[in-house]
Amino acid sequence: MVATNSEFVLRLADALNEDHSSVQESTVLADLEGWDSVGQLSVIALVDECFNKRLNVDALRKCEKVSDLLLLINGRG
Amino acid sequence: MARGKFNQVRIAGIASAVPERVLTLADDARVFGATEIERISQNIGVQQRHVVSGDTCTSDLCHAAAERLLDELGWERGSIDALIFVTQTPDYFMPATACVLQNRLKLPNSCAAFDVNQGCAGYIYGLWIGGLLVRGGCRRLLVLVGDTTSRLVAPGDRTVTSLFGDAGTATALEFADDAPPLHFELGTDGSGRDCLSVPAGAFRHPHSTASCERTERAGGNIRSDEDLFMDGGEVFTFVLREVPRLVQSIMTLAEVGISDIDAFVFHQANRFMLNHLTKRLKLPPERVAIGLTQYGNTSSASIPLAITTELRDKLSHNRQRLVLAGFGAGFAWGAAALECGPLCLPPLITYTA
Repeated sequence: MVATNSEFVLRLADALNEDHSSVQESTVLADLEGWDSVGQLSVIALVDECFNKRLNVDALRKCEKVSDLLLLINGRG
Repeated sequence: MARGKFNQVRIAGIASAVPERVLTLADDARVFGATEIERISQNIGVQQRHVVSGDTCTSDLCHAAAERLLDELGWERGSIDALIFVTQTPDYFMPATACVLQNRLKLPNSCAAFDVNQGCAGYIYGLWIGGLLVRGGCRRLLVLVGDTTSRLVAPGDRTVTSLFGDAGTATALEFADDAPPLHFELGTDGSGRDCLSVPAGAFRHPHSTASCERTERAGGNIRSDEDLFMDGGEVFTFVLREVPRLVQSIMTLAEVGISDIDAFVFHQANRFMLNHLTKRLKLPPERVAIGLTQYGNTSSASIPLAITTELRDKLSHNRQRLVLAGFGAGFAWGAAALECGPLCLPPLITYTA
């Protein structure tokens, strides 16, 4: 399944156990309570499922904002 | 390529033992707080795990499993030609713990005995090597597989402490002319060696005052270099990269499809990973064994333990087609596609020191 960016952001909020309204492209990941090692595993799984991509874990941990994560997924991170 | 099949090797039985002592989420909540433990446990799907007390070793659990299995099979000790002990928690640096077990089990001096250092892929390694030994002339042999990972875990490291449990297992193999073929594929990527490891205490980084000092690390976790370290993100990425391909490849080799398989028994890493693999491979969830809720991740023992706890009714009475896959420290991985049963499957043994 391939998701659009906006669909992905909604599913990202679910994966991190956050309200949809609290996760936008401009959101700072470190501000989200769900962005811990468990949350990062959920994101790796979500990206594998939605985009058939295995994220580089170091690069994932360096993402500051949701928009950085989208760039990484789209191969421009 | 470590991929192929062989005939004339029969799996006769499997027995598993867990220690009596149980640790629960309530125990972890006292250390890390209830909210955090609830979040972790929802993800990993472990409610409790059995852990050894005092100086109980993996070999003690495997010994109990092997005694029971030999008794139930009615096999003469003198008929055992080899003993393979697969573990990452041996009794000693030397000698091989397999030698200790040969003596304790009163196996004959004509029995070959050796250890294999493998973790979560260890059961596949044990079956594979055991099968090759049968093809090489051994009439009967024991594959003893287990770990007491709780003894490597720092109690202040939330990434591992509520996940790992202890177990020891015994599997009996023998030559049988009419046995269906066993299919195997194994692989290694040693670039992942640091992602699941005990960095110090052997010869590369020998034991020292500094190496056993527990200090605060990333994420507020407290451990020493002689404790188990796991980078969960890297391990998960490795599994996503290799395991779906591995499972498809072993089924191609065995010329079977998903609908031909009665049960998929994967290393019981954690519930989240098993669910994701099930989804990714489009497997029917009711045919994927989940046996970690009560026992945790028992490393090399998790596949035979899940067979004992989840498949006992079916495999005790019927022949079943199974796909097994183990993956972990190394990184190492292995899969098997096989038909077996009815098996001698004693009920789970509770080990008391």
